[in-house]
Amino acid sequence: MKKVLIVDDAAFMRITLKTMLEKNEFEVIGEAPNGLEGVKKYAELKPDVVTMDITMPEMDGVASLKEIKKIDSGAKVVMISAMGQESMVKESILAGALGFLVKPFKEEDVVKVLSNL
Amino acid sequence: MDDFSSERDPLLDVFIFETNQLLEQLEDIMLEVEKDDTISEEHINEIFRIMHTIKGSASMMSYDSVAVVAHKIEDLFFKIRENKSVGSEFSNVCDVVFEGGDFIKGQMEKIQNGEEAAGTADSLIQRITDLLAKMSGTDEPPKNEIQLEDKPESAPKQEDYAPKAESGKNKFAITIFFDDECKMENVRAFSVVNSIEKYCSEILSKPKELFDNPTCNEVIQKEGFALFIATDLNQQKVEEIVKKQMCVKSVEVKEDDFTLHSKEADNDNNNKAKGVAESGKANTATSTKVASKQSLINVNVDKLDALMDFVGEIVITGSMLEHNPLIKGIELPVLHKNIDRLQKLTKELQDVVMSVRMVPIASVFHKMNRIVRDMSKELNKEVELSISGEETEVDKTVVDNLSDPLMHLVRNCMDHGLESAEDRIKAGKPAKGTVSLKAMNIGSNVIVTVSDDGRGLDKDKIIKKAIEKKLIASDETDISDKKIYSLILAPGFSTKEQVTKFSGRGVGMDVVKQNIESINGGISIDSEPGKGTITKIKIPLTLSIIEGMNVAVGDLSFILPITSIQESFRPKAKDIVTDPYGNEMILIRGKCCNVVRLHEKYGIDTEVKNLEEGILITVENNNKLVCLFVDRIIGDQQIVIKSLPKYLSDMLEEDCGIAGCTILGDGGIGFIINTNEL
Repeated sequence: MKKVLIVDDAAFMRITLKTMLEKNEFEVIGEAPNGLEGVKKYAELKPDVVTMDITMPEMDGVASLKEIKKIDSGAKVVMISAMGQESMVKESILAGALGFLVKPFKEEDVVKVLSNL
Repeated sequence: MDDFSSERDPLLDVFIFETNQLLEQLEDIMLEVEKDDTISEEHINEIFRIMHTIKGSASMMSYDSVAVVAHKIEDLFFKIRENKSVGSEFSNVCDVVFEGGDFIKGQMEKIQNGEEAAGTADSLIQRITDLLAKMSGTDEPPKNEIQLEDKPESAPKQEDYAPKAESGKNKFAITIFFDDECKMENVRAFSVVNSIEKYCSEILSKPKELFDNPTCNEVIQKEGFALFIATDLNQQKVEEIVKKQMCVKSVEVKEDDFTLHSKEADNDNNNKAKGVAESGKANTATSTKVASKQSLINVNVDKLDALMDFVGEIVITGSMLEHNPLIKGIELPVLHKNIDRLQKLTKELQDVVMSVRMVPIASVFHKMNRIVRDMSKELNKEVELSISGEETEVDKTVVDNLSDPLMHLVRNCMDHGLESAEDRIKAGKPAKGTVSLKAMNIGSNVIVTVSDDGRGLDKDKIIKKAIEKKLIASDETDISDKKIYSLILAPGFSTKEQVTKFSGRGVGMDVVKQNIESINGGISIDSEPGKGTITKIKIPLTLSIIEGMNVAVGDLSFILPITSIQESFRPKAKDIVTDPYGNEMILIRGKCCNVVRLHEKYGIDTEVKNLEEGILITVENNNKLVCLFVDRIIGDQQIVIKSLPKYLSDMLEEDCGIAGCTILGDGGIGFIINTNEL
């Protein structure tokens, strides 16, 4: 079972992702409401995969990704973005994100992406 | 009325809850913005983020009408962030945000009620589009940020890639199709390039330009993304690397000896700078004022109701154990000790459950800010809303039922109570009127007052209208002020000549009274001509479990809420007075108080007919006192209020005085009396 850390400031997105993942043999081992907490939790829990929202308070997804990569250059991070955030997604790819999902997405999209990592 | 929300998708509940929370935050921000008459960078970022989140969640739940509006406002604030100001469009921007928030709030209500979230906000969206056009156009050209180029469409530049390999003996043409609807195909394409460029000594692509190219995604969808690379990798390896990327539907790798024309006019690395349009760094601004994110658990109110019901049942069962005469007679200390302990624990459990349901009244009070603001604009009156005691806690159901009455009362203050600025100045008052909301705990009640410093109520007008509506006899001259003011609570009563948008239909105050009474509360009004009006609402802290005094009338048991009892005593014959109409009254400390014989009122057979042989209990009845005549007092106990079964309530008259029933300690039924209806 792959261990996942969900980083997103919207409780709704966190619970939606969690529901989708737990139905499909993923184990959600932690959640964080912003990039800063995300980095902390990453260091603490060492998940297999991270889903990272882009727009968050305190520290956004791209910055958080960069910090996590500093801790673990092999960290597997998938960005969760919305339409209109092309440049930030581009930045995150350059920073080493393995891929991205665009809202709205379906359960099968998430599963497919995370399973292939 | 069954609420099946617990059967509903729990995700929906979270969506609704979170969106409503965000909308509240938004309203708080906007009210602050309007008060300060300026919109700070922090505010811009907050509003942007709120709309961005709502857009994302709404789109996940397929509530497109909401997503579209949120997206539009997000775009607007993206522009404002870029421009670093709203320029001259401040009040238009504010209006548009308020309206957008209201629209989304309306949609949330529909969704909450299980209705379809149909409806669009086309005109609002058009206005935002126009605003955006104004802001991008002549108003204030963005100084610091880079604008979208208005390059001629005909000469697309090759995207600036960074091939890192030293040699590339193999040349391939790669055609990639991405999954249908994978969105942001250009970024997906970029991702592919990013993964392979370190192995290439040369890379070209078609479409040439991925970013700032409006047709790019469409082209990729139709024709695929073509890459031309020179690399030392073999064909299989190239295919492998590309396939690993997300959303790749198909890959075709062919040997292809392409010629390079990469030297045209893109030495300038300005191309890389193009993608900076969206700066995520501004997100670091923290907002401390707006709704602190506490670590709390959200609990569905239905679960709390169920919990209360169960606690109620436990209280009843405990009472039955405690008061059952057979059990009382058992000589078993350990039994009685444990029954006592059970009762104590039950009381504590009850206290905790009730406290779980308690919420500060602040949320209701804060809603009034919006009302004052809107009405202030419409009526052209400057008004300040002063709030105190907002941390006072009340039961959640009470808060829900208090919202509408308070809104109506606040509207009344603003519409009827407060005079125009002109009139106020003439009267020597400050031009700005004040509406005050106060809440405080007194005993086991919460007192909420709504007051204004306006013109006060016109007693003569009220009396005239009351006589017209036959609420009082035309020759009744000796009515107290309080009674006069309470007349406006009667149905159909309104002294306003016209129905305004906000009030005057005369259905308001009596509905307010009904709402308050439905939560076992009472309402009273006081006023001083020229100075203002105060409406006082008294509500018990808890709804369904009260302390009651059990009294006997004949064979029946009645329960009087302890909070409404003033005193009880056995009357002396000499204090009993009968007025010319035959009404019995009792003298208490020099004052006359009406007597209500419960056995007569409810047609009960009883031996105790003489007042000196029974007990008189003085209770509150709409802010005056009345004495109830009963046979005897049995005792006080915790009462769980249960509503009367339908077959009974259908038979009884309205206002008959029976508020509900309960199961007594001895297993019998007691009728709970609403003293205000006697």
